[in-house]
Amino acid sequence: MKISDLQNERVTPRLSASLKRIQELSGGSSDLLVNKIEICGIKAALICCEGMISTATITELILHPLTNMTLENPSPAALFGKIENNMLLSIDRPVATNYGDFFRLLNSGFAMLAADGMDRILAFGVQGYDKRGVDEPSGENNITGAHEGFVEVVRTNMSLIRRRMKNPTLVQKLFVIGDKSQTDICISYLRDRVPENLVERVMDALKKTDLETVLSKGYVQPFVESRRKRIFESVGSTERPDVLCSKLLEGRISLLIDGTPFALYIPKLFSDSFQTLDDYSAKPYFATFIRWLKYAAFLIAILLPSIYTAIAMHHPELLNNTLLMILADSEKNAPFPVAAESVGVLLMYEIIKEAGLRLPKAVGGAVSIVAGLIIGDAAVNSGLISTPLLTVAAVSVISGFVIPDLSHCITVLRILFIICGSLCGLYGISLLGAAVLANACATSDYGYPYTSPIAPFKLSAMRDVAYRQGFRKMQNNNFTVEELYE
Amino acid sequence: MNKISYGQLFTLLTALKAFSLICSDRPADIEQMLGAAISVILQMVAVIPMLMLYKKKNFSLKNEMLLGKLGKLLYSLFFILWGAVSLTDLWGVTTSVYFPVDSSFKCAVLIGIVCLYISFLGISAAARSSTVIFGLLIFSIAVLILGAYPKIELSNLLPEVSGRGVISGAVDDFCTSGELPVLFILLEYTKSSRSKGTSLFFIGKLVLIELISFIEITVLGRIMDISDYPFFSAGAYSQPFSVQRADALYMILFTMLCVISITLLLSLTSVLVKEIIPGFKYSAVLSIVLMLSASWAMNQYKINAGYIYGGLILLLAVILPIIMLIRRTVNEKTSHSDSRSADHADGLPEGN
Repeated sequence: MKISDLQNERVTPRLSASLKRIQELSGGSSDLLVNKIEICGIKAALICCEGMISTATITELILHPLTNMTLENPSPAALFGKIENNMLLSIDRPVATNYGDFFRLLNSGFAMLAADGMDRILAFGVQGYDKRGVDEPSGENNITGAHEGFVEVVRTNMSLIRRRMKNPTLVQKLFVIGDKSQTDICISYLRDRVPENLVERVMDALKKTDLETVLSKGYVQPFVESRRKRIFESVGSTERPDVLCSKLLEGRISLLIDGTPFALYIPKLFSDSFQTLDDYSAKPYFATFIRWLKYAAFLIAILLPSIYTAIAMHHPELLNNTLLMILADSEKNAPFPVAAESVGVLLMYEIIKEAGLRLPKAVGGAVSIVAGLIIGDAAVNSGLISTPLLTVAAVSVISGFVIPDLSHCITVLRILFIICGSLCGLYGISLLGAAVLANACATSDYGYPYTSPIAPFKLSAMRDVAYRQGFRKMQNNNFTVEELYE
Repeated sequence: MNKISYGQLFTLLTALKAFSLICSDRPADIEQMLGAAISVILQMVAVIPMLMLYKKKNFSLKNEMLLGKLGKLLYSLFFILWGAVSLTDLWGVTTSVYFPVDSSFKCAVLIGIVCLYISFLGISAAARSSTVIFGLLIFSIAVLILGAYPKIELSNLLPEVSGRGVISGAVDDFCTSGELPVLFILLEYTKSSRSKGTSLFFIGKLVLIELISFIEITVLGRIMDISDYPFFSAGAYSQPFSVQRADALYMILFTMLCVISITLLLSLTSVLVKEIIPGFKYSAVLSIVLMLSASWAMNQYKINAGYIYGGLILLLAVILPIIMLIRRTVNEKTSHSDSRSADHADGLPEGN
């Protein structure tokens, strides 16, 4: 049964028939509460979903006024007319004329009032389901910015953005995706900043989604980003309302998805992965220093183990004597080839990381200790792994933590580069590097190249990429992503 | 085919030239530097007709190519030939400079696969990549200068002036300027500021030639005569860091430039082949196979037809554009005078 089919089925005016149909459609679900009442002698029913509404609110704002209501000439039309025009029972008061809308509203926490003789059902927004409070985001910590992160409820997330953008040019439109889940999605943008056609193009892309459910951002993301095989993600995500506001200010579009504490933003640039809110709290010189540190960390995270492997296996002449002696001394006792050692250590790290992520926190800590002891101490002492290689792997992994946004790409590319480095040395690394670079340069969604403003080069946009310009200068620029359109 | 910006035109062509420069096995001297400078200035003048052609209203090389499909075939064959020359350069360097692949042919095949992949991504991907690789080129040259500075011997510049070296330097430079026909085709895909992009390229080319030659001459001196590839030898002699040799950087730069050069030639050939045989899907695969085969043949039979290349460059980058410009101008004048006489005829009173 599709919700779109139900949207074609109009509400029956006879209350008993309507209630029977509702029970039928819900399959006798236990959480469907039907409260039959008489209001001014007219048979009515207040229908709601258990656990989705606030009992206190419904009692105080709906039940009391309805039971105390009087009508001069009682009729179903007069009843609904008075409720709609003279009584403000709740702020959000949509009307359902078909069973599709009825169930969507009912299951979103609305109280539904049906009356005998009326072919529509009034809805009152009295949501009161349990939800997580606004808390510090778990993945995007910062020191000087706000300590608020998105939660799972889309309307709360909308309010978090609105609190930071009180300008009427901020548009937030809700719509529904997912035939079974009927998930609310909110598209947000600043009307005076967003590039022409971008909203229409994103909406067109979203309309093509034919999903049954939307349970996380990953369900929607493929529909709004390039379909071609690309390594890097061209749709960004954030847990932080302040970060999202900064993206909106640059003319980007955001998507808030009910049920997930992450917001998507479009378009995403490569340089976004290196920007954090703390950069804008520090002095420009320090922010620039940190920015370059992150670029270096990215290269180290991907390339250091592969360069080590390539040099150890193919180009020892590139090192000076002291380093070469240290390397040779440590590798001569290791039983495995350098490439196998490198891949093995990194795979082991990934296994430990996955184990730590999925296990309960208490056990996760224990895994870290055991893994540290086994790999860090026992493996080196037993001579299975050389100390320089372990150091290189550790430095590479820690460098990867500096750019958590690119962790997926870093993990896979690091291993691929090691394989190429071990097979063809620096030549192999360069070849794979060229292919990865071209793949990144080819990534472009809605006409916004992912690698912009580096390639294609836009000098004016380098103020927040090559260095962080001071706010006195930055405030007058009114930069939007439209400048990067190709 | 996607459009590129004038900046990308500059970086693509500079990458192509830089690759042939660092693969050059000719020992440089002051006369050759001077000859190359003269050659670059003459080339700037020689490309004026092609720029004028693109300034003509509604000019499209796709529709107005001289000799039609035959003209396109000529250009695509030249690009295959130039791709093969670039791959031969790669073979040469890989045998001289240490590359950890069993055979040079394997090196060429590997690079062919990567270039094929990038050409599938489109010319804009290659053009954008060339911006980053241009940055790498600047960085590498800065490192080279840093390392070369203490080793520079200005006395090495002193030439035994004969005058003949200047002319041969100019001719040699022209014969290795395969980027000129590329420029002619690439201008079709340049969005705007074609003249600006072209001027920037020639300035960049001049600076690059003179700078690299200067470093090679002053650092290597007489060693250059016995050096297979002066750029790599100069790099090996001038090491700025004590911990890590900078050769690794030049090896990476060399590979990156090679990838961009061959990808560019492959993309252009592929586009032209598609125009010659519409609907042919394997144009890029066919082109790279032809490039690899030609390169193998060049290596096997030690073919080095420098002056023939020069003649082809002259034909494709100078003579054909001039003929096309004249044809277009004559056509415009004819159609203008036809329309004037038609207007005049319209204005005449009708006969009885």
